[in-house]
Amino acid sequence: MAETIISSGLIIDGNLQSDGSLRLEGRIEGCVDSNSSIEIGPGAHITSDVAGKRVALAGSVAGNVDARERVDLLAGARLTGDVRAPRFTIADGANFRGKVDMEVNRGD
Amino acid sequence: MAIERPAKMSSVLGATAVVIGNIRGEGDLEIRGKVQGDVHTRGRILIADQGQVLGSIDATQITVAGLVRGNVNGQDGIQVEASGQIEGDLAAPRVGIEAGARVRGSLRTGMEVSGKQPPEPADEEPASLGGPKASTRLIEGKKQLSVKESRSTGQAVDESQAEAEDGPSYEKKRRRKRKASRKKSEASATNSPPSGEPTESPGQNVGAGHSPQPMIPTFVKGAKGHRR
Repeated sequence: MAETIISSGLIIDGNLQSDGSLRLEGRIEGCVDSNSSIEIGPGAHITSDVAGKRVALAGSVAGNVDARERVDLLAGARLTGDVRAPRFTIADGANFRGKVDMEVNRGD
Repeated sequence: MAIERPAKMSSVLGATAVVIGNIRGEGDLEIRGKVQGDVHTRGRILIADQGQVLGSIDATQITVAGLVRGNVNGQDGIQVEASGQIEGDLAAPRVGIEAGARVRGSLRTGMEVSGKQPPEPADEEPASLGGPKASTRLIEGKKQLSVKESRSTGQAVDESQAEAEDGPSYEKKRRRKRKASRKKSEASATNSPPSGEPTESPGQNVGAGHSPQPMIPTFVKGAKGHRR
């Protein structure tokens, strides 16, 4: 279970930063930054960049997604922005518009 | 790697989480981390032991076991636990502060009656001491009861009920006016009651036993009792 859960009714007008894992179902009008995994649920809406260790996206993101390990676009996901991650999957039914950079060399 | 919706509605801001910005919306929220901004939601808010909110909080029910620097406004209530610390004003219909909690700020409770003055308790107390007839006291007590009952519904009901039990409302208004003018005249350092008042004829039961330091409430009540 994620350390931080933002459920569907909640709106954050600003940035969210955490060392622990995040599960986002609500709306975030700002950046999301975590040193752990980020799960973005089907109802979630994020209007800025997302950075984490692993990012699983089923909701909507308008911004760049940056992950140290991997990014997964699940069915129903909607991403407008660039992806930077060593591993990247796009499921059937995901909507993606942007560039991908998998040549990520970082010391971790 | 499927993502299913969380079974429970409540949100949790974890211990390492930091939000720089405001939080709004609806649903319960537990804050174990740090929020630099305002939290305005419809739902319950719990600021856990190590949680911090540097900003105002406005929610239905708020429990504070951590630190809040900002005003706290609860639609239903506020509970400050022993470990809680609030630097800001508290406003809620019900506020509970446990022993050990640190609160610095003003406190306002019972917001649903904030716009309304209680029905002048000074008026009621001397009634038992003296002058007026028992029947008056009874009615007076009844009136106070009705005011208490109708407090949540507001002034209009109170007024109409009082009218039903207490004669026409213009009389009530006159009484108030008279009392106000008397208070004014007292403030200008005249201890004797103002002359020319219709209630001050010497034949009246209260007027007779009056000391130079008049007890206004008894006075007013006596006048009313007499008129009735």
